[in-house]
Amino acid sequence: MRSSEWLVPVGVTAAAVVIGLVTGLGDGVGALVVPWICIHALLAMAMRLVMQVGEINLAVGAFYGIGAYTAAQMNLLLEAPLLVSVVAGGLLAGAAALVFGGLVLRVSGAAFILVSFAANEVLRLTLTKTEWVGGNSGLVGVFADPRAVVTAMVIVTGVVALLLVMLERSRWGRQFAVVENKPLLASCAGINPRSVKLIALVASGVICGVAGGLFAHYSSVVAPPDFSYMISISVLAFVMIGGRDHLLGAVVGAAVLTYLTEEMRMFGAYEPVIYGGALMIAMVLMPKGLVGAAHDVLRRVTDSRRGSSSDPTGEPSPAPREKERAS
Amino acid sequence: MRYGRALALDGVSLTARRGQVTAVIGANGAGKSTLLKAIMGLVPVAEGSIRIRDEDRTNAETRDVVADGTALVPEGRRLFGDLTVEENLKVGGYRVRRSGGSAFDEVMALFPELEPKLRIRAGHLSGGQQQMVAIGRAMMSRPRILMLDEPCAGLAPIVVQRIAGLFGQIAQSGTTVLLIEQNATVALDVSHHCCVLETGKVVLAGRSDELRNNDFVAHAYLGI
Amino acid sequence: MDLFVQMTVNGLQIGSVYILFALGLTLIFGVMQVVNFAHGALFAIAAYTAYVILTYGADHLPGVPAWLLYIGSFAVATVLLGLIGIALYYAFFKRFAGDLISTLIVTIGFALVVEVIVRETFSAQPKSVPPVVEGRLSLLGASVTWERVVIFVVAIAVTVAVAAFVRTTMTGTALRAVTSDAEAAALQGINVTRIALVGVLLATTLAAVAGVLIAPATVVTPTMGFEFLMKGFVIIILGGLGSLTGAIYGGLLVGMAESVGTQMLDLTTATIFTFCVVILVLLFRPQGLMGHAEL
Repeated sequence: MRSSEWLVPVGVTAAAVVIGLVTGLGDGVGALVVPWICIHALLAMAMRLVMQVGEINLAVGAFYGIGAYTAAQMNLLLEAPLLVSVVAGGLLAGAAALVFGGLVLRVSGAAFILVSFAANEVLRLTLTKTEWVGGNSGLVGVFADPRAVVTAMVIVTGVVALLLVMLERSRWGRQFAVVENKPLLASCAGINPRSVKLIALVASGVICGVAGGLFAHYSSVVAPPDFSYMISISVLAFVMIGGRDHLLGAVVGAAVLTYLTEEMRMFGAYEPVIYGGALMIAMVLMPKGLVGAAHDVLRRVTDSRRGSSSDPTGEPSPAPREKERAS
Repeated sequence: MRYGRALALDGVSLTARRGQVTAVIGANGAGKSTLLKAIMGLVPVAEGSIRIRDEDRTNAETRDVVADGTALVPEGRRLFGDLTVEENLKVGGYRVRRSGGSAFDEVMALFPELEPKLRIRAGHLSGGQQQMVAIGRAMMSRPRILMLDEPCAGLAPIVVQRIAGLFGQIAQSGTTVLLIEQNATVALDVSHHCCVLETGKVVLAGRSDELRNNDFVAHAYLGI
Repeated sequence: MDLFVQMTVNGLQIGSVYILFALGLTLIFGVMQVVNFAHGALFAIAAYTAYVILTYGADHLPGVPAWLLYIGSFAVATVLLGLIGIALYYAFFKRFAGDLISTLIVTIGFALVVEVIVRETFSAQPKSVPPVVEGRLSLLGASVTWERVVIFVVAIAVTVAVAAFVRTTMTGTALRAVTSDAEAAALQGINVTRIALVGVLLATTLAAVAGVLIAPATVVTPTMGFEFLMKGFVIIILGGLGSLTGAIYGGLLVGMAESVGTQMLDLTTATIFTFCVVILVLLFRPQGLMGHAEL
């Protein structure tokens, strides 16, 4: 792969990290929004990673919760430093994803969606019943330097985004596309769809866990309601509204919706209406999401100017959506 | 005719005569199944047209094509596995519910071996019996044109004989039978006319007994 | 022995409502491959319909007997949900036919919006619905309210009616054919669109009956839809996606498991326990109890 191909993603990520650090560490609206954008973007990228192998995992909130509780306990019981706690959160969430995927990935499609949705609720219920993690009231008093946490959030989000771009352009990324679009072909080519899916699920679990660890240090309180089905559904909204065909879509969706919710907060607890309404409208009017729509507009502009169909963003063009029919 | 993005069929014109069996042979990916699905209105036709008995049927609703007297026995049988044999047949006569009685008797006459199996779930039958149910189900709509997509695939030779023998019988009662087969030997044996489809084009057409002696066919499809 | 009878009676009663709820969910999935997150919202709307009509009746119409208002609630909820179902069908299900993800997303969106509308209209406070029938029935040493007896009887009657419709009528047979293989059904001349609409209306009717039935026996809250949805999902996974028989067995099993679990431990632990059982079942039968292996 030529190094020039990396200029765009590295440049965009670096710029985003700088902007994130400047606004996130300042005291405007950015200080309120940037940490949440980072958490949401991490979760959205994790959700999209599993979508790339053709499954929708509505247990994102569960892995996020496991990461958050682990990191919080590391901080509270062992007084572990920020990064150690966060990494531990990521690893334990990844392990949970490994167990969950190992048990459940023999089903796919609709059944996987339903099981993962139920699993998320079951984890939340389990947390409310587990006294050594605080039961209903959760864990309180996770301490960390707020500036260090925000800095870590922005940088981790940037690094994860770059890693995922690398993954997408690697041999693995191509295997993912085959598993999503032609599962039968994948098996014939010696790729085991189930193991590829498991790898994607575990990687996604680690990212969710890291996001949870960062969240625990940022909010200093973790409680079961933070990890309900609502978070999984919101994250799905980020990906779909941003555009599932590009990694950028997950980040843009997270940023736009997080910012909008923050701005609307003065009107009361209308968060679900924003997500719900946006989901319905977006699916009808903008099935490829914000980034997909922008991409189409850009392409039309450059097409009419150059009369060619070259890809203006340098992103890999979206994989065809048609699914293989088992006949 | 275009199917999706790729050109699947290119200027295919078929003539199938009433009371006769017409076979279409060709290798995998030659466009045979696509042709049948397009005729039934199951896949959109982007370019070109489909005419059945001189009526334009391009992109017609599947149910109208069926009501109009064209039935397809799809590849892989596609029975309703949870439904009993009797229910499968009844669903086949969905369009002609009112005159369904005699069609049912005709199908029973064609496949007497299904009589004791009527109350069994279709998914529990053997492959050959399932194929009989699939053909019977299509016959329930009393079609003027009966199309069969690979009806003999995956069946034991003796079952193939039993089923292939029926095509002539069905045609004799005044139905136009269009048979799509990969197995050229069977196809040429049971058909009156035959055409050869290759990568979406008709490369050869003619009477089956003549085609059997054609060097190209003998070489490429019969392996002689 | 008394405890055993009590648990069985409770389990059957809970299970009968679960069956109604899960039947609607599995029906829509079978006919259109839609994972219908809106089903819980529809169910909640029906429960609130009963709440509104029964409380209004108790306050303003002293002459009208509660059972008449209750029957009225069924009628109103069925019509209301039917209209919403038709709207959902034409706005989304038909447009995104066969697209699992898109339909999933829009029904989630719909459910979220309904939840907030309900919360803003009726507040997040749980509402209790005035009783329709009072008194208790003693049965083999177990005691059960007449309210719950009525729920059980109506739920079973509706289940039997649905089963009879699907098994014996031509439309019902066509519905099962579409569930089994929509393309092959179209090849038989079945109007798949019309049958899908029949499936939607059947499902909304089931949601209406379930919601109105459960209302007087429980508290009505804006989140009850999502709570039932999770149970419904567990049931149809257990029974096999799209399988009506599976939904009936699954509903009974989950109802019994919850009844036993609640008696021994508490409801939350019982829910967790039920989920673990379902995961275990999936290990051995990924297609569910009554489902068929695909591929």
